Amino acid sequence: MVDIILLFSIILALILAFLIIISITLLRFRRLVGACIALLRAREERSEISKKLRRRYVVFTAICEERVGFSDLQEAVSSKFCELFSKTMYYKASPQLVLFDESTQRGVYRVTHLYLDHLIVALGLVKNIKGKKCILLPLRTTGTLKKARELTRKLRF
Amino acid sequence: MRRVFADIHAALCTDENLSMYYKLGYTLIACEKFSGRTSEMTERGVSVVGKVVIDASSISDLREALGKVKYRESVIAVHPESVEVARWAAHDGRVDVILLTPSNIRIFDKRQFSTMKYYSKPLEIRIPHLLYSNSEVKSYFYRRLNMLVRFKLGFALGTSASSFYELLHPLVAVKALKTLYDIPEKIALLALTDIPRQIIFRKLNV
Repeated sequence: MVDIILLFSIILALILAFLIIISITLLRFRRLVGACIALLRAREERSEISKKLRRRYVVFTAICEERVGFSDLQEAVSSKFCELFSKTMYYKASPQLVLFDESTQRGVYRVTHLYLDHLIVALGLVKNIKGKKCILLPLRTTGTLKKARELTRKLRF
Repeated sequence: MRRVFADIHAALCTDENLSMYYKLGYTLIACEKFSGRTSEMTERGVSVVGKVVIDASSISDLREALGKVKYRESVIAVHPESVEVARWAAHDGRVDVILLTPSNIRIFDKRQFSTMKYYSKPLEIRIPHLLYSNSEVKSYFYRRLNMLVRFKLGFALGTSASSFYELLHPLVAVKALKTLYDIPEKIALLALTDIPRQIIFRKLNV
């Protein structure tokens, strides 16, 4: 009878020990899985950031009282952008007037795609350039400069 | 550009303005002043209806003014200068829109918006007020506009352009609301398309 009780208690102790070992390994495994998930997320975020650095080209036309020049236009748009969205955002967006045909009054602006909306607003709200009444109308947005160049010639307004 | 846009308020409609409106994609316009015949304007591809703005500080003024105007033919906007007038205008069937400006922005509160929602009365907001006011007024507008969105109340945007150079591209207006006032793009688009279209169409079909 005593032997049976002893055997039973040993089996119980063994089972308990086994359960404890399993729970510890599971806990460690969970931490390991958590670490793996965190690593994957960090990698995804990094890849998203690298994806975010894309350029957009905005084709626009200027309708003014008199013809305006490249530098005057650039100055007007950049000052409007800073007035509306602050200088910090201007540096982040880094809008650049890539080309502007003074004869047709059409041009292309380059901007980071995250700040595309901001540039469109700044372009649209320019009302005068160097004292001349003027409106800038965004026509199309493209992903390549080549296509933007084509659109400046082809687009009808 | 699809021609789906409508302007709930244009200060002056000249030939030059209307051709530019058409190029920008507007087809329905409510004009305060015309220079020409309405039938001529419709031929250009842009349909124009009249617009009457009633400034009222008391209910009696409003009732008197509403009795005089041809409310079936032109878009009626009420510019309320007191809370009572704003409430009255919200449930009057002759009034098409209630005008929100920097001078009366304080009378638009939750109760006013819920009344307007109950009677499905849209609000009219003018784009120059949103873009060229001082920062204090802009902050008022920010809160009111976001309250409007939360209440799911419709609003219509008006350019109130009197000359060619005051016109605004509809895309710019939508993006400006999105970036400067945190209004969802779909709601901003509705304010330039569906809501003003419905109001102006009602007047055209009379």
